Amino acid sequence: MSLKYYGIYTAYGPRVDLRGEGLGRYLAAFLKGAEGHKNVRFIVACPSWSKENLIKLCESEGVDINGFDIISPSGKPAILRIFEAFGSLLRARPSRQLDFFNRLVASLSSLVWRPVRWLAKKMTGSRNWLTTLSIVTVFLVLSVFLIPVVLIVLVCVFLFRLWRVVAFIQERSLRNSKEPAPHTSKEPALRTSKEPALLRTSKEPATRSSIIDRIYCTFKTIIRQFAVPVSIHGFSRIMYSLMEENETSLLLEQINSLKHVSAWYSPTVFWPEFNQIAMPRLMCVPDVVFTHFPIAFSNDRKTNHLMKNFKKIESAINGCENFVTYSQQVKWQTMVERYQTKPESVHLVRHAPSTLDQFVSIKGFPNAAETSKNFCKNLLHTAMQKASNPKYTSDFLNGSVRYLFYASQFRPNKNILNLLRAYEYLLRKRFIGHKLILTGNLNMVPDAKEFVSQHHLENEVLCLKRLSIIELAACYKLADVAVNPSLSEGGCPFTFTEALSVDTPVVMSNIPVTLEVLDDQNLADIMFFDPFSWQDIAERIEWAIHNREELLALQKPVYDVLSQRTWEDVVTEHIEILQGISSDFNQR
Amino acid sequence: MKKRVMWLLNHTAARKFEVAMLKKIGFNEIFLPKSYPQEASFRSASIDYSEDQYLSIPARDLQILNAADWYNGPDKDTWAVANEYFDILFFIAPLPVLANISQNFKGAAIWRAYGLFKGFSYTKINEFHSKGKRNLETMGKRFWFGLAYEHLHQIECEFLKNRSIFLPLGLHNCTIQDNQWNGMEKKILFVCPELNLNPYYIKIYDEFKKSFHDMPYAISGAQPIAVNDPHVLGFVSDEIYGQIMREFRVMFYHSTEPNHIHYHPFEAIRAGMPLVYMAGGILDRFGGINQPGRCQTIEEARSKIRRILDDDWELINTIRENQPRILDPMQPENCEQAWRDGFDRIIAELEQAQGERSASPTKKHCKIAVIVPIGYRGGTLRGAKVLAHALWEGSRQSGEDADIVLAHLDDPELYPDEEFEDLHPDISRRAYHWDTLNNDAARLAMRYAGHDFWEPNFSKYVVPNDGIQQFLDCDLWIIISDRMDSPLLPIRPYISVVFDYLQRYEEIYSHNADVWFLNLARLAERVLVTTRFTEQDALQYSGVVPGKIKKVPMLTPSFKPVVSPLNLTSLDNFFIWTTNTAPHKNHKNAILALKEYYETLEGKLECRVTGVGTARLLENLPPHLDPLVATLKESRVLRSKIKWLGELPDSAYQMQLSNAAFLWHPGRIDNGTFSVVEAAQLGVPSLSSDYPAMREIDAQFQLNLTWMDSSKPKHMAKQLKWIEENIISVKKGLPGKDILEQQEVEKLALEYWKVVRECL
Repeated sequence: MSLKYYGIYTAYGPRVDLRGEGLGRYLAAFLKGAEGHKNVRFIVACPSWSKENLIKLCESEGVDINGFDIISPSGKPAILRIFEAFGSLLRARPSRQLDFFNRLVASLSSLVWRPVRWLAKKMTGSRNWLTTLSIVTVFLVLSVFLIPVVLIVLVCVFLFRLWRVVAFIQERSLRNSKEPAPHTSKEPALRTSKEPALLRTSKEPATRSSIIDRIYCTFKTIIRQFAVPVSIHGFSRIMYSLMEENETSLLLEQINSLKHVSAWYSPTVFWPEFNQIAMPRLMCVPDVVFTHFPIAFSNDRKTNHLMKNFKKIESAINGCENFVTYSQQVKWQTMVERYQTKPESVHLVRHAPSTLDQFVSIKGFPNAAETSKNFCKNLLHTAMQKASNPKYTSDFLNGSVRYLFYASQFRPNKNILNLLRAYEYLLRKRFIGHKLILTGNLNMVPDAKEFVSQHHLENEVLCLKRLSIIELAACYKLADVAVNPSLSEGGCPFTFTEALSVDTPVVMSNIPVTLEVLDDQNLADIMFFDPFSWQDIAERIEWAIHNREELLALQKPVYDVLSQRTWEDVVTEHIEILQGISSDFNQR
Repeated sequence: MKKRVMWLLNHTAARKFEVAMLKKIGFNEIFLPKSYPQEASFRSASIDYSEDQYLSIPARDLQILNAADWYNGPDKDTWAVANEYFDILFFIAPLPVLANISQNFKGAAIWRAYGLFKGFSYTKINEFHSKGKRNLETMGKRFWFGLAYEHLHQIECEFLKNRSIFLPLGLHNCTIQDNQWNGMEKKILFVCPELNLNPYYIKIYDEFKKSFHDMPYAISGAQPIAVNDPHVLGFVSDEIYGQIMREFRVMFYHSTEPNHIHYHPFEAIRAGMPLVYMAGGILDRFGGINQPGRCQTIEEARSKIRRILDDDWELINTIRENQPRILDPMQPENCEQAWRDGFDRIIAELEQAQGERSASPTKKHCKIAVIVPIGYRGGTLRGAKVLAHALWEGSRQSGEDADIVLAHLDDPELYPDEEFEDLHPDISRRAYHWDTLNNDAARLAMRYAGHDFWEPNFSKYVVPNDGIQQFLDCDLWIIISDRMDSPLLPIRPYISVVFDYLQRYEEIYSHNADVWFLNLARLAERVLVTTRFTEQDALQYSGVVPGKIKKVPMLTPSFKPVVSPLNLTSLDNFFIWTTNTAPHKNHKNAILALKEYYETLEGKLECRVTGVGTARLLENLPPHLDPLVATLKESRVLRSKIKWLGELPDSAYQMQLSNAAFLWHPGRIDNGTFSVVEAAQLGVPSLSSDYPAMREIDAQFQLNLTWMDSSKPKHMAKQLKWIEENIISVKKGLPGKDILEQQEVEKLALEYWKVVRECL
């Protein structure tokens, strides 16, 4: 049988470490699953900066790098190497809402932006040191002329902010003179006082140090707000985007020259340029969550960024003909109804289970289970240092802390607020005692953040950010119960298999994508809740806490069945689809 | 001198050598621990029962020793057994047991040092575990730093240097088996364990791959977490390992660690396999600098290994002929004299120390301060007094008489003498105030106290100042509650008695304002709690290490009637509501419930409100009680039926309570109130909110409380009406005198003493 070639298109950004990305792990699992197909060879197309990263990913995931080919533009752009050399300058901050002064700065910068953009594009595309250095020189000269303008604007902004601080102090002192505070800071701490200083619960009046803090914070804010649009951070982001454009063009040229590749596959929907490949194309659409939560996403802090992504997604979908989804729900509701795609063009390929036991299962010890648990406790201790409230967690010494766990980024579809409502009820009214450990950033969900603050749950709801995969596995393993209250997902959430792979039972939302996979009625009655009802969420969680072993015993056989599906099966199904679209293409 | 040794380690290879060596020098009875931490770092550990048969100690005592956890510190009773039969013990770091040994073992303790990786030292380990406080130093001449390699003390502090003794580590079997090695497998054997676990070894493997990626190699060593790398052999049986040692062409040993060496290079030499190793490590000390397998650089190592793999038998044979010299210092017969000399010193100094100790005047009673940290009155103050009594009583019951001092803030208005009339006469009382020390002063005080390595972590510390010796005459401080708003100077060990973590359930403090409360508990020697509910919160909220928390029974002051109840049928037309102004007392729902009880359910009983701050509750309302005023103003019935008695003297309170129909406790949450126990002692039943701590009190004292849902005023009212109508039958459910007597301080004191004595 002749060898068939299929391509996988990737266009990760320069700073993405594939080992830390869900999509990276997906790609590695896919390539590993492909190792068993001896009559098929995959070619991974990636930008030049991803090649090394891809090899590292394969090494860390045990993928044979000789089992597939990699193509990418030769050599990294010179400007990227310069940027990498000054890596610390590249930590871009989240964009902030522009106030009046920022808008002013933005207007000023737009005047000079167009010619600068032209130069920047030339520079980012160049692979020639001489050209790059010449353009950098032009930039430096321009900067010298711009510095006085920048300084003037900076001084104006500072004076305005200072005026606001003075006004605040005056207002505060006026109010203090009218309403004396119930407690004063002159009261000695502890010394013969009937009530220690900390027992005072009222909001403290502004002290001298808090005013100094405020001035300091204001100054910091000014610098940050002013600096971001024109700083290297903001600038580097734009440079990156231009560099990506150049790189993509080169990559597509290479791809389109490979006539022996029968069809190409894009594992995600974020890369509309994939549609410029002249061969048959298959695109994976995990979900388009914006379409289900338009209002919630419209309030997101990263509105502009999200809008760009949304446009990219729509553009990618509109330009492609063949799709893969992980669930019937996304196929019909998103692809067919929303994007009017032909049903026969959308293929359903479910995930293989995502498991975590391999990271924390220890062998070769008399009591391996206990050793593994102790190993996880050490990892949990490290993870706790990444909590949203380090002042509280840094000296938290109980490695046996009991908690509920939900691993997910925070997005409007994740239903965080309802989970918090259920948790608050369980803690305060049902006295469960557990903590709730999350892995997202509360700042992304203002309602949830406010809820935590209003219900003084800062020491109970711990958001552990940027967990490594091993820490994630440990958090799952030590949890009493894993919870997934999500309202919408692209496929059955990984929570189920990830948690059960480390023997932690799960309770989940009864959403269609989950029910498509977990359709055992006996299980459904005990592990699902209505995500729209926090009372139902609470009831299920409480039941699961008190009946942990029973739930685990019921879920384990289901997990065992699910875990029989392998990534090789997933790849086989993809290959069949790729073969199908390739022969259709040839027949046309 | 007892000719027995406790060898409190579990390292398999070290045990083979050291147990044999101890026997060689005359110690035939050796106790070995029967458990060890189930942690990945104990990969070379195992349990051996074979020495038990030689121990001439009673089976029952051996059972106690075998059941003990020697890595986390056994209790005093176990140490008493150990002290009875053993004069010498070996232990290993890192351990929380360091302090436990220094406090409890009366013989000579040898901290066995096999060497650490660069950047670590035993001094740092000791400082870490003792938090810089005086610890092993207190053992004086009974402590030894037992060096496996003679130079290990060089990087340590003066104390460890001065107490170091050389007890060389050898190989149990040094016989070279070179006739079995064939080197058929033309690969490098590189031992590198824990590749998915330990960053140290991950880095070593990365460096090895970088240097030898183009040569054939296999990685041996325990891999507790599976490694997805075809070069890694993973777990192999002893048989396969023996085969590997016979067949692999060469072993490379990477380490240039000056103070640490692995076991496998010696195994390779013993197996006759050529060993190529890097200069700068301990092997240089053993084999000198002219060994043919020794390499100054990686390039040199690559070159030698390449030649070996390419069948350069001249080099192979030269290495094999010379390398056995490396094992010379490991030969048991070469180690024996050092062990004999070492033990002569250990025994001589132990006898001297024991002689000095017996000559010193007998130590007086230990003294414990029970410190009330803030201006507590009422139930908490009563609790402190009864705890002091329990310790006094418990220590006497166990024959370890302790002196107890009750300390309270120096505020005569708050604490008049009459307040302590019920304090046990043998318990002394001291007034004090809190002094604040800045970090320089704190450091100085700790240095004066002998804690040479202690460094302040905070900008200020507080100490209780009684104007005498700042309670340093006391061996242990017991802080009643965790309510300290600054860190306590850790100049004395202390126990924190934590009543509750109300802040978990009620908004009492602003965010992170309770950080010092939590720290007080986290840094305490022990945390005492009286309910499982608070125990759970201490674990879950305060994050205290589980082993530190001790649940002790609730103590109640004996509350015998000072007045006889009057004629019940004529007077029990009221019930008592004990409360104070705190938000968790649930005033709003209580008033709404009363409104419902009187206005809708036509309740007949008057409500008498008593407790700290209740007399002027309505005049000087805390913000959370504002809504009450309107409710009370609206209802004439409420105003007429509720009587505000305020804080009553004990006798007046008892008079009221003993004549009440029942006691009402509508609070939302806390550690439980003893007022229901006091009521039962006077034959009065209680209607209580249903929450975990009250359930526990109900169970301990068998009170048969009547329950209500404190979040539902209508249910509270309904229960008020129910108990009003069923008071006769409810009273029949009260516990008998015999049951309540079982809960008296004298009966429970020993349980308290058993916990507290562990910290002395």
